[in-house]
Amino acid sequence: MSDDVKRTRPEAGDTAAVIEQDPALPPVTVPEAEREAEERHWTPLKIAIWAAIALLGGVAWVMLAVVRGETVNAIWFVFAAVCTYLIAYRFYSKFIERAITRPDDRRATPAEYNANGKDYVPTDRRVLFGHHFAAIAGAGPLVGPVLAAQMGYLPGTLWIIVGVILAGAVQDYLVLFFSTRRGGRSLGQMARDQLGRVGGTAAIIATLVIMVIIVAILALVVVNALGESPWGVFSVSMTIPIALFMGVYLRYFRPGKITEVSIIGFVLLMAAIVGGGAVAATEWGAAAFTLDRTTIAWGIIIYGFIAAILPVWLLLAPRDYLSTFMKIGTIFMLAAAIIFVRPEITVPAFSEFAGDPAGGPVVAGSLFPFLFVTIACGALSGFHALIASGTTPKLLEKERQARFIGYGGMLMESFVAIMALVAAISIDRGLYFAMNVSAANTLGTVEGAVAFVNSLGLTGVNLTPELLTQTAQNVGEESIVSRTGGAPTLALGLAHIMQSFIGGTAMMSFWYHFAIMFEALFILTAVDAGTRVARFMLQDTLGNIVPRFRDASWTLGAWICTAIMVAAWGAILIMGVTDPLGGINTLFPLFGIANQLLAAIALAVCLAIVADRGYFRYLWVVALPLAFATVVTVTASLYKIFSPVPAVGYWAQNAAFREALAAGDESFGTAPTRAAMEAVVRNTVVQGSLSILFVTLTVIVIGVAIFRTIRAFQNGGGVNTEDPVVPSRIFAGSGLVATKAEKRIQKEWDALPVERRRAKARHE
Amino acid sequence: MNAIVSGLSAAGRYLKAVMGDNAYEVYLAHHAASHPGTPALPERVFWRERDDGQDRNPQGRCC
Repeated sequence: MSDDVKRTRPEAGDTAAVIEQDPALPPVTVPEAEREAEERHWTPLKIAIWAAIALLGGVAWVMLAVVRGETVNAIWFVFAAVCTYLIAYRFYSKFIERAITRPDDRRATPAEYNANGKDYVPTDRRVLFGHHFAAIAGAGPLVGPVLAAQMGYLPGTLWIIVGVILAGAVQDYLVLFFSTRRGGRSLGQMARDQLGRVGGTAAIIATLVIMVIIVAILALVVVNALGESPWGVFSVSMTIPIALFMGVYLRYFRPGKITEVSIIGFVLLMAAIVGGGAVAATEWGAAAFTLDRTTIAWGIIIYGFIAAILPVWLLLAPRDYLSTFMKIGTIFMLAAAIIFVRPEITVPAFSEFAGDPAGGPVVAGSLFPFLFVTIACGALSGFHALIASGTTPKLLEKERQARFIGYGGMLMESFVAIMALVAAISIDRGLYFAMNVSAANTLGTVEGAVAFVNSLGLTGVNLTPELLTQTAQNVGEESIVSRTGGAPTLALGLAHIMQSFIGGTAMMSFWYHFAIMFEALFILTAVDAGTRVARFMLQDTLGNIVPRFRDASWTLGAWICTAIMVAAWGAILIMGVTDPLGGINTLFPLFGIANQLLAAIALAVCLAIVADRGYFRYLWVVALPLAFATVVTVTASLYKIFSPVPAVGYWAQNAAFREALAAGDESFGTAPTRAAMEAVVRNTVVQGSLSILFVTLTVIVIGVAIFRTIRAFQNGGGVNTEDPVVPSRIFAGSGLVATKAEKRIQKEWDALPVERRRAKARHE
Repeated sequence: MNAIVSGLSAAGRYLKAVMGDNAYEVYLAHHAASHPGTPALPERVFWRERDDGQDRNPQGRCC
């Protein structure tokens, strides 16, 4: 495979002479020829298994995309997704491995040659899979698919599954692999090395701004889920004392007993959910915890600042443990529930809004490009590039494992997105719209919601006030009208599925608040961690001007930078909460655009690396998702900037409201007062400016990457930015299950005396 | 029965490893291999330094 590629310098395949094996040790990798033979050897059993997978997947797709009966069973979503993932993993990611990454397990990874027993540790691949998955998956894949369900189930399902195998998982895998070859360098550093000063700086600024946007919009999802919900506010606030207790417990009583304290925390959390119902039912509880959204937003801003300056062990670390614990648990629970309950889906494959260029009341704008920015996480998420570079490479034992961790980990997240989609579409469509249409349209009342939803003229939808009040009562809420942001809809879907699995209608309110709780937990963890990471990035950037900012022990500097970052996302959050146009529905596209622009940046860096390695024949593997992400995000940004339709274009909206103000109108559109109209003018300026900033930065980064790629093509390759080769002295398998050859070699290593087994380079 | 018990305990070990309970054991093994003869950090100090390391080098969590 490698001889048809033009090369200008030693490649992985040529390093055989360079990498000298310690003759006293058993092999550190399965010999090339033996692995090839094993992979290419098709036994009848293997053929039968893959044929069965392909057949089942094919049938599932036919059921979803072609048959599209009156109802479709949720199990087909599971089969279509899992079978497609398996095939993509076995064949496409293997192709990428052979064509582009070309791992060489004779080379030591940073985890091995920099091993320090703390942050550089060669970690068992299955454990690392768990770590990596916990780091990449959060609330994102739970929210986007819910909003996109407006267009029917098929567009979202297709994009989540096809997007992940051709784009999202490719990005995660390549970034993980390239960062591993570069000592675990971060995406920003790789951009600087690969794209030079201008491209690198644009990438770093874009990353910082994108992070602010993402934190703000995630926080907005929480605010919307907790607004006017005393039960939710009580149980989510209780996570703070629970986390503090866990922190103190781990620091002073039982250091290192992480699972133990997480189980205790989990039990307390369940008590907080049950207790929340009791508290919300009392008069004083309802009075104390019924908070409007602006108050909750301010609460989260103050919380975010305090959490980011407190020591990690006290609040962030224990909350993270709890969040990881819940993540693993709820995902297995959700999968089990969907498989056992197998709900019937009545949502059409393509809804009335899928073909409408104006979009619908939940997501404005046409299917292209807005489907692809509404669902970012789960299909293609640029944020993962920040985890796949930097954190995970320092734990990766062998280069060949990058496929399992990077590509496989992202497939798993995609599956979470599919399950979220199934949960969201398992509820009544009328309810779906009543919950997700902004209060500007429903007026926040049952009557308003019923009138608005029934006026949409959706086939098979006849919303009754009784259904709305009954459902609200079942989940223990005052009202479920205009609970936008995706989280409450998912919570209702989950409660709907779980109650037929465990507990019946009586348990629905528990499951609803359980779902709200874990979404809030994931998001608040992301807010804490995001603020901290952004603060460090800002300190690093400011350090170029005032060197003292680089000194991490300078408390005042850290506080100033934290305050700047919190103010930045806090301002956007407040803007979203008070927005007369409905906040989340106008801001969520910005979240998707931001996330995918980051993906475009990461892919651009990968493109430049692949070009520098000289693998032009296979450049399309990176160029295809990069081109798609670029077209989608740039088109979406241009719509947001230039569209003359006020619901779509920020500046068109701005102009419409300015004209109305100039004409002396007292109310306009959904803004009832002049103050609200002025707010719209302000907000659209910020949103429109952010769109311009994003698109400019990304065009710079991608432009530089393409320029470098063309130059590399002319020279037949480019500069090698990899770290020098260090021979490996350890062995480990590469996939989920060890192969025959791997087992044989592992036996040889097991027979070795312990003191010689992991004798790595000493670094006293 | 034995298979169930060993399966459950393997699942428990896996969960603990993913949560990070075994970090000190991993450190001790590394220390014994790379710095034989020198004293390793005591358990409490190790966990403290591990947490404080995150203050200096925060790790991102995704959306």
